[in-house]
Amino acid sequence: MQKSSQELQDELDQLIAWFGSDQVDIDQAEKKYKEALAIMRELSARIEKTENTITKLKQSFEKE
Amino acid sequence: MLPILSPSDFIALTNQTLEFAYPSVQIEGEVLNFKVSRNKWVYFDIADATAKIRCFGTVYLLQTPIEDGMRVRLTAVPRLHPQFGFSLNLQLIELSGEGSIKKASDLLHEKLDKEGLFAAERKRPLPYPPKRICLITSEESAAYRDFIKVLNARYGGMEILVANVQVQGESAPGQIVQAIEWCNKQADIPDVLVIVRGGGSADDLQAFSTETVTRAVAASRIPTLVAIGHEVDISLAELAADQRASTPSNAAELLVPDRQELRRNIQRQSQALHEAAESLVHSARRDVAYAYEEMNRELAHTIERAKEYIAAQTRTLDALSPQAVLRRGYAVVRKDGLVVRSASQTRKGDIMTIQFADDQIKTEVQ
Repeated sequence: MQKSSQELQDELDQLIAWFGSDQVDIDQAEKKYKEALAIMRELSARIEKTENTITKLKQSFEKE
Repeated sequence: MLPILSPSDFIALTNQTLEFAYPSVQIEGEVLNFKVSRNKWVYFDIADATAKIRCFGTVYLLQTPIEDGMRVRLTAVPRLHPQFGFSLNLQLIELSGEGSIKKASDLLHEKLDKEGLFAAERKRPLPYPPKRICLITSEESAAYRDFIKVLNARYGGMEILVANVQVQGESAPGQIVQAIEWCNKQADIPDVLVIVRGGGSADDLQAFSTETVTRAVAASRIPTLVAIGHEVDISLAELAADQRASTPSNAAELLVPDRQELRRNIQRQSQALHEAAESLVHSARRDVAYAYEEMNRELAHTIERAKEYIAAQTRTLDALSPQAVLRRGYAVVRKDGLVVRSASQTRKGDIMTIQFADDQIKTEVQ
């Protein structure tokens, strides 16, 4: 299931916070850096999606 | 000659005449002697300064609470009842005049508030941003156009289902309730239910303060965002919603982030990430350089200690060497290359070699 933008944003925040923490492991840094870049690319792509799909419902809500 | 009628015949004849002359009437006046019987029947008088008429109907006609003194507009059928006399059989009760609408709204507000429909703990967070939105509004309205315009400008990639309903008038509450219920019955329900309507008089906005609409909003399993009228207009449906917006445009602003702001945010985070990574690399380099220096220091120290050890050993060896003994004034006597350890090893006339620290001499034993 595709992650929501909010979930991706939270993951990105956590990754950036990890880089700022005292427990940064240089061996993990490259992997986490690549993960963060991938999330940023995905979020950017979602932001640039300009089209919203508008579907006008056909059913009438007249009282039966 | 006039026909002689029984009371029942006369009542039947009168009702036929009334039905022909007034199949339905609209009367506006003040409510007096309002009462509800067995939670089913409603009785009151509609009055003006000089007259009053008895009215009768069911509680289902009451879209909002009514009490004495309120001004209402009735749609009713006049009837002459065999036991109770003349009355208006109610078909529709509408509030008339802002004072009455306000009063009815206050009464309903109090009632629903006691039931907890507006309680803060009932409020759910809206998904941010949502993927599927169900928008309940009038497609003809400026509110619809404003909402869509702001939404499109701010964020994309969403699916918006539009349920077109009347947003004022007699049929509005029923249509809005049906639309809310329809959305909630879908197998693939939307992430959020948005109800918007532009500004208007209290009468125009009345549908959103009716009990049925307010209860439907409160009962929605889909989180709700409601924006009715302007900032100052607060309908009961808005109070029952998970979130209220001051205007339809504001509803769009609350629902989704602004893509410009998101772009800036990602740029900021990208910069923060690069800075953090660079700092990490610098820190790692610094650690390696420090370790290298430390290693060099340790190596130099080890070498120094080794030198000192060797020097000490050398000094010890020097102290023990024959040369050092000779320097202290001793001498080694040799005869024919062999060390003479005793005088008994010598005879008169022997040629001896005496080894001093700096040189050697030959001598003869006498």
